[in-house]
Amino acid sequence: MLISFHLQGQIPLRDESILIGEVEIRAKSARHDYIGFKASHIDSSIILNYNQRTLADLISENSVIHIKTYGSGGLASPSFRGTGPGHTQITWNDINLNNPMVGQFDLSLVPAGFIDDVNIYYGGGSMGIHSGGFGGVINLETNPGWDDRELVYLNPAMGSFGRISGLVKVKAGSKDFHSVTKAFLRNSDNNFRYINSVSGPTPLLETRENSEVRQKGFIQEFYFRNSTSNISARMWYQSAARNLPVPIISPAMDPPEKQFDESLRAMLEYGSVRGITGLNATAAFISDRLNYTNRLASVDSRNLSKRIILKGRIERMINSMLRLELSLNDELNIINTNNYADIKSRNLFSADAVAEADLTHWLGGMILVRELVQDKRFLMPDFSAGTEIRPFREKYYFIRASFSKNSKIPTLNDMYWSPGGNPGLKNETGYSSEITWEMTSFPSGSLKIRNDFTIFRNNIKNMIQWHPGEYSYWEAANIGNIITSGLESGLDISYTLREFNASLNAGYSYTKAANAGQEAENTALYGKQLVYIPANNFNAVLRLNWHQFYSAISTGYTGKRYLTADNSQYLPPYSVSDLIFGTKLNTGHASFGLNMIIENIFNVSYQNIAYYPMPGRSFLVSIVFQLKK
Amino acid sequence: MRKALILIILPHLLSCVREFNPVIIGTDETYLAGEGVFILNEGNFRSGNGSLSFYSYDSLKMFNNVFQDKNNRPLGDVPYSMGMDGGKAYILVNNSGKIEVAGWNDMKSITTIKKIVSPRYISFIGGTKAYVTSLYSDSVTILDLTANSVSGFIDLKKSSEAIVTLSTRAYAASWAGGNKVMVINTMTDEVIDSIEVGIEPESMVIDKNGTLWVFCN
Repeated sequence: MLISFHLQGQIPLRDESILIGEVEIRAKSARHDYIGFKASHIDSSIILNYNQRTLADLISENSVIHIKTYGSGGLASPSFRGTGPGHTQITWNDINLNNPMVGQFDLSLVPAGFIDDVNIYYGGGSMGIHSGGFGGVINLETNPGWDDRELVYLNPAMGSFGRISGLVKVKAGSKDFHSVTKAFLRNSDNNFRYINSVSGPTPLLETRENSEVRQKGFIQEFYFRNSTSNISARMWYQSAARNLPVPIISPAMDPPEKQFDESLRAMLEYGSVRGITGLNATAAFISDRLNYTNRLASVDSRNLSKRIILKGRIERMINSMLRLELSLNDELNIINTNNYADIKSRNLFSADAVAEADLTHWLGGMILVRELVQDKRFLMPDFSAGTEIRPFREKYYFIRASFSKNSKIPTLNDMYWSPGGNPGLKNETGYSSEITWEMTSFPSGSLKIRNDFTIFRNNIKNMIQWHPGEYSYWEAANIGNIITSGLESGLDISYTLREFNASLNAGYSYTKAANAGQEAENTALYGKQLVYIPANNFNAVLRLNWHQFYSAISTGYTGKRYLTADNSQYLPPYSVSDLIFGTKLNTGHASFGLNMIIENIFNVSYQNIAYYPMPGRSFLVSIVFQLKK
Repeated sequence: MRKALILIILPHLLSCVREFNPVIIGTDETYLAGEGVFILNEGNFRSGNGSLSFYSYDSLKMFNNVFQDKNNRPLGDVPYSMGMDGGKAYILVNNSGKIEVAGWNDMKSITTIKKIVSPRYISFIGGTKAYVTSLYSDSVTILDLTANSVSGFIDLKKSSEAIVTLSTRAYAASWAGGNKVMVINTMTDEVIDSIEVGIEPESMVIDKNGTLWVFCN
């Protein structure tokens, strides 16, 4: 948001000067930052400190989203506002990345250094990008960086537990053409030590086995622009070969379980603005391969999903207050796996209409209506509506309130997995409401304080759950009904004095997520907190920069997580802190830097998932070389 | 020197061990022996939340988490079956690859026999040894009940599930993808014959007339 404010009293006025009224210029920080909805932003200056770490690390330390993870290199999935990982949509420049088979996305596979910006849209505010995000949408953005002077960025690193990694970025081009190339490599043995007191009568100091990870990937992007339009072509490839460690309550397997993930994502996008009309069209192809082998159990699971996605959007300013938007989206999924009876395909078409109005300087609103068509079957329309009030004209205080009805289609595994899949599954339906208070103040020219406070409630009906079936296997059915509610609070403080800069970013969430359906009533499960949803989550990052030196210390607290539906077992809460510090020396067009990351600096023993120990204190040292124009 | 350091450091680390492992809330009163039935709860695969319950006929009371309550550690991942012999309970914990040996009247742990590949069922032979079947290995494990340790293996060349004994013969069903019951001479610990039955023989029982009944999927 760009804001200008009046400087009367600071600039002396001459007799012939003409005093004009205050002018305020506002713009959205992100494309889908609709009036009336909460959104947050992690920008490139923060992502820079996470170049050698994963998207899971970036999001867990810079938002109130809880990340459920099996540890370094292991599956990491997000949980927004008490909802499950399938209720969080991960998109790349508005294109959905969630695997259509499992409906989830593994955040541990994405190096944070590949991404330029992260925008998080909460609840109903996510519907402008994709449906099904009852908790929200995390949109990963890669941009041309037209004004960026960087040409080459090299960042090799090595660290504890056999970690060797590297990130390279190369940019080239002219005023109207840009080529951006990024590549990464990451190998880690993850052979950390931990105490095992559960597998026998005597506690033992053990070394984590079968936890190796080998990852690689690259992104190649081309951008073209002229005065009214732009074209981009992007391709993103990555692969990961992992050995899967077992819980410490089981002996290490020989040979170990193995998983191979490989993704290819290609995207062509066209955008133009002519007068008061904007047009955007995107075509994307995504291929995801996941092979899992367990030789001991004679399991060789091979899964290949392919998607073709077409999106078109037209928006027009009707007048100074009203903007209309119309979008059409089509997604074709084709799945080839030895876990279904045969090859399955599904086509999803949706049409959205959005009206967004800035009615007065203190009141605005937005409404979105969406119709989904699944394989020629029309579904009940979804909608979201939000309003924004600015009670004091001279202050940056906002009240936002919204309500939405959202749908999530069943995953293809829920429908076709053999055995147990159910082709007759209905969509899950989520009703979300929230109210947010946000204020930004500038006590002095050097100090900025932003604070927000949100109360939310979600009711998810017809939730798909797997349950013991009539035969000896489990089956999928629409039997769940959950209610999640709670509050979120964020605080951002930044202070700048000459060469010194300090910032504090903190967030807290309280979430109550419980079974609420008829089948749970009068049972031991009714009203009990859902498994692996912490009621309390807190994080804070303090950054201090002075001249060429920089540092950041982050602390995260994760509350108690229940392990059983009747809440008879739980994992204790824990708090983990990380420290980053480094320096950068500039010499003309080049700069050299040295960076150190200490994760879990207080060497806390903890588990994010039961019986999967997390690493203790670990170190990562990297050097940075940059060449600029 | 390194081992000495571990012995010095480990006790200090143990004081915080229970802080990060899963915690069970409100375990029941201590299990008391008597007339009743043991119930093994497998739990969820890979969640390590298997447990042992005891329903007392005397008090009509259910005692849950009996093993963990007595031994301050979890039973393991997928406790699958249990056998009693010589005043001891042998709990086969399938996905933890172990057998917990405990006193049957108090469930206090006597020892843990580890490194058993996917144990399924146990059959006691003459009070001195036992045979343990396996889902993922092609052998039946021989246990020395005096030493509470593994004393050998019988190569079936196929996996095994249910096992029953009669006189000097043990009968092991090859369930996973099989159609045979293997016959073992318990005097020599050798496979001497096989009986072809229906697809996937899963459970067996010998009746009072010495007839072997095999239930196939």
